[in-house]
Amino acid sequence: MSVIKVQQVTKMFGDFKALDDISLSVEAGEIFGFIGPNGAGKSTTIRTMLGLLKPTFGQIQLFEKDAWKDAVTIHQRLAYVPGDVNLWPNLTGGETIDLLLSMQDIKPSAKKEALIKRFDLDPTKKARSYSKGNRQKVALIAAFASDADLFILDEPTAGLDPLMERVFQEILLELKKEGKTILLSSHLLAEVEKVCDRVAIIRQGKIIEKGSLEEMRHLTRMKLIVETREPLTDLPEWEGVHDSKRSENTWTFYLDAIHLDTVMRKLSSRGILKLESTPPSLEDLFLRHYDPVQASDEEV
Amino acid sequence: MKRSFKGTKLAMTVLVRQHRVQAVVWLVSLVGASAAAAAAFEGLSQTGIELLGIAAVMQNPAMVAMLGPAYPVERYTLAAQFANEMLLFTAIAAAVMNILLVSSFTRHDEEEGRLELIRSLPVGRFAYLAAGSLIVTLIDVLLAVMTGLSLGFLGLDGMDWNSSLLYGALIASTGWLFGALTAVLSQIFETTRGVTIGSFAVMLFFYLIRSIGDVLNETLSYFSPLGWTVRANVFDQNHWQPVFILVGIALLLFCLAFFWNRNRDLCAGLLSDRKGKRQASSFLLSPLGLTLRLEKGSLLAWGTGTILMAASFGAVMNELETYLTETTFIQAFLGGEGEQMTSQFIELLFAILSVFTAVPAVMVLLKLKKEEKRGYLDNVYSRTVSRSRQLSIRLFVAWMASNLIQLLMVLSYWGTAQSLMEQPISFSKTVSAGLAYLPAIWVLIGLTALLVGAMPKGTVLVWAYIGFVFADVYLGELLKFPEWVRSFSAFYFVPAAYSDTLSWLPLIVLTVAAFLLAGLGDVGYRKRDILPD
Ligand SMILES: Nc1ncnc2c1ncn2[C@@H]1O[C@H](COP(=O)(O)OP(=O)(O)OP(=O)(O)O)[C@@H](O)[C@H]1O
Ligand SMILES: [Mg+2]
Repeated sequence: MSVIKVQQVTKMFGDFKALDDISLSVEAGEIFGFIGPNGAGKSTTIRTMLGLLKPTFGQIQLFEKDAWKDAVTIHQRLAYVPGDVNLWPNLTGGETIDLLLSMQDIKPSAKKEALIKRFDLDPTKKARSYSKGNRQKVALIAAFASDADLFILDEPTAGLDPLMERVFQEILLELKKEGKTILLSSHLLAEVEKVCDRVAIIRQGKIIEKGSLEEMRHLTRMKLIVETREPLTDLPEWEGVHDSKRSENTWTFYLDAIHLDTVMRKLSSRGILKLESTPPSLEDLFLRHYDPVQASDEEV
Repeated sequence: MKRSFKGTKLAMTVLVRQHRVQAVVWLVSLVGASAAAAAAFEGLSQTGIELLGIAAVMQNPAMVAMLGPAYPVERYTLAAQFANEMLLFTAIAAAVMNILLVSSFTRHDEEEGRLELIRSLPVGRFAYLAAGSLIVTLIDVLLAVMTGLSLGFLGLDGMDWNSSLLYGALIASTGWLFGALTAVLSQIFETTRGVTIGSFAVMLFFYLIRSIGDVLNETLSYFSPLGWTVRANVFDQNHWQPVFILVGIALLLFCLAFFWNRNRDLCAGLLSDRKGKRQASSFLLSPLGLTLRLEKGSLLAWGTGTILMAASFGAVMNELETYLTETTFIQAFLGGEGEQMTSQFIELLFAILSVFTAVPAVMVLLKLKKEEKRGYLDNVYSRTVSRSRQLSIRLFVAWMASNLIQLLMVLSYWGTAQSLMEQPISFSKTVSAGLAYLPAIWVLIGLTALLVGAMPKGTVLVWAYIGFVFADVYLGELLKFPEWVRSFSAFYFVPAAYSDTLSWLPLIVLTVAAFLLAGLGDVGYRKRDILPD
C-alpha cells in the first residue's frame, strides 16, 4: 500500500512554479529519501503533503485520504519535524513537548522521558534560550514519542552533533523494524545512503530521478585508471566513456556503469597491465544532478 | 570610542530599507491628521458665541482631565480651540509612533536575530542603537517641521509662524522623549513585547499624573512630560521652554540607553530568565490553555491600563459636579443643562475607552498571523488541530477579554464616581452606556478575523480602521464629518444609552455583522496556504 501518493502536483507562488508536475509514492514500511539542491522544492512538497499549502493542480493522498481536505484526520497518524524549528519562546522545552503531544491527544509517557534522556535534553529551559540543535531535539522528541505510523522529516538533523545524529539514525532503524514509514529529506548523503531504501531527487521543482539505491548505482559512473600494452588511441570515442585523460600509456576516465561489461572486454583485448577502479558513490551521482552545468550536459 | 560607532551608516541603510514604509505611513498620517483637522476647524465658521460656549465647556474639570488645562475664555481663538482639542492626543499618537518604531529598530531586530548578522560585520557595538536613534530623531524633526509648516500655511485665526512651529515641535519632542524612553527599556527587557508594554505603561502613568495634576494640583503635572506639553500654551502665550525640557530629558535618556547597551550581552536584557517547568501543567494542555498563557501578559497590561483610566475619570466626576453647581454663568449659558454636560462627557469617555478595550482583543487575533509568520503554527497544524478550531479559540479569548475588560472598565468608573460624588450617577444607565459599545467592539474583532483569515497581507488595515473609528468618535461630531463617512465607523451606530433609552436594533445589527465577518474570516482561513516568512 502506498502511504504517500503524490499525483502530478504543481504548486504556483504567484507566477513562480515551485513544483512542476511532481509524482511520487512512498510505500508502507520503507524509509524514503528526498534529496535535491537548495530551493529545489523539498520543503514545499512536504508542506503540501501536510495540508499547509494547497496544490495548484494535482492531488496528494496520505493513507488514501486527501492531504488538504482530511488534514486533521491524517495527522492523527503522522508526525512531522521541520528543518527550522520555531518554538514559542516563553515555554520551556518540557512544556512544549507535552503541548505538542497533547495536540495529537497523546498523554506524556515513559517513552517521552526515555527520549529526553537519549537525546540528552534539559527540558527546564525556555525555548528562547535553546540552541538550534536543542530546538531540533524538542521537535524530534515530540515526534518520536507519538504513536504515528508515518514520519515526515524535513532536514531534521541540520543542527545535531554527530553523536545525536547517530542516535537519530538508530531510532529511524528501530522505527522501520516496527513497520513505520518514514519520509526523510536531507542534504547528508551519507545519512541517506545508510538508512534509506529508496530515494527521489528533485531539482528546480521537478523530480528528475527516483528508484532504489541499487538502481541508482547502476545509473552512476565509476572512475577507472588503466594501463595497456597496446595504445588506446580511440578510447574517447567508446560508448559510455567520459572525461578521458591520457599520460603516456595510462588513461584516466569515467565510465557509465551500464557499459562496464563491453568496455572491459575491449580493454582486455589490448592487454591490461594495470587497472584501478573507484566504486560509484551516491555523491558523484548527486553532484552530477545538482550541478546545473553538468546536469544540462546530461540532457543533451 | 569612535570605533564603537563605526558602521552606523551601514546600519542606518539596513534599518531604512526594512522600515521605510512603516515610517512614511506614520509620518504622513500624523502630519495629515493635524493638517486635515486644522482645515476642518477652519471650515466650521463658528460664531463668536459658539466659540465662547466651547471655551466654557473646556473649562470643566472632566475635560481638563482628559485634554489638559483650558485656554482662558477671553482669548479663545479658533487656534486655541484646535490646540485644546488636538495637541495632547496628537502628541500621544506621536509617542505611540516613537515607541513602536524604536522598539522595532532595537529589541525586535535583536530578538529576531537580525542584529547578530550586523554585529558580525566590522561594525561598532553602538552602531545599531546609534542608527536607530538617529533615524527616529530624523523622523521627529520631519514631523515637527512638516506639522509646523502645514499649520503655518493654513493660518487659522490665532496661528502665526512662531506658534505653528512651536505646535509641531511640541508634538515631535513629546514623541521623541518616549522614543528615548523605549530605547532605555529595550536595554532592560528581553522581548519586544516587554519593551512596548513597559513603554505604554509609563506613558499611561504620565497621562494619569497629568490628569490628576491638571485638575487638583498643578505641581503634580510638572512630574509628567505630558504636563509640560500642554503647558506651552501654544497659540496663546507660546512658551518654548517645555520643548527644550522635553528634548533635554530625551537626550539624557538616550545617553542612559547607550550606557546600558555597552554593558550587556547581545540578546540579553538586564533582567534575565529563570528556569521553567519540566512538564506542562494541565492548564496549559487544556484547549484554551496555550492561547491564554501566551496572551495573558498583554491582556492583563492593556486591561489594567483601561480600567485605571476609567477609574481616574470616575474620580474627576466629583470635581465636575462641584464645578457645575458653582458656576452659575455656565449654567445660564447651557440653559441649566449641567446634566447634559455630564452625560455627553460620559458618552465620549466610554467611546474612547471602548477603543482601548478593543485593542488587546484585536491583538489576540493578530497574533495568529504573527505565529504563522514565525513558523510556530507549523508545529500546530501538522498535528490533529484544525484551523477552525485554532481560529475559534482565539476568537473566543478575544471576545471574552473584551467583554470582561469593558465590564470592569464601566464598573470601576462607576465605583469611583459613586464613592466621591454627592449626587451619584445612575448605575443602570452607566452600565448600559458602557456595555452598549460591546457589539461595536465585536465588529472590530470580526474584522480582524476576516483579515487574518482571508487577507493576511492586509492585517495592518485593522489599525487604520481603528484609527478612523477613534478620529470619528473624538472629532466626528465636532468637525461635522459627513454622514456617509461616519457610517463607515461601527461605533457611529452605537446608541447613546446614557441620555436616551437604549435602542436594541443597532446592537443586534452590529452583532450580526460581527458574526458574519468572523464567519467569512473562518471560510478564508480554511482555504488558504499557511506560509511562514
Ligand atoms: N511563499 C513563497 N513565495 C514564493 N516563492 C516561494 C515561497 N516559498 C518557497 N518559494 C520558492 O520555492 C522554491 C522551493 O523552496 P523550498 O523551500 O521548497 O526549497 P527546498 O528544496 O526545501 O530548499 P532547502 O534545501 O534550501 O531547504 C524556492 O525557489 C523558493 O524560493
Ligand atoms: Mg527546505
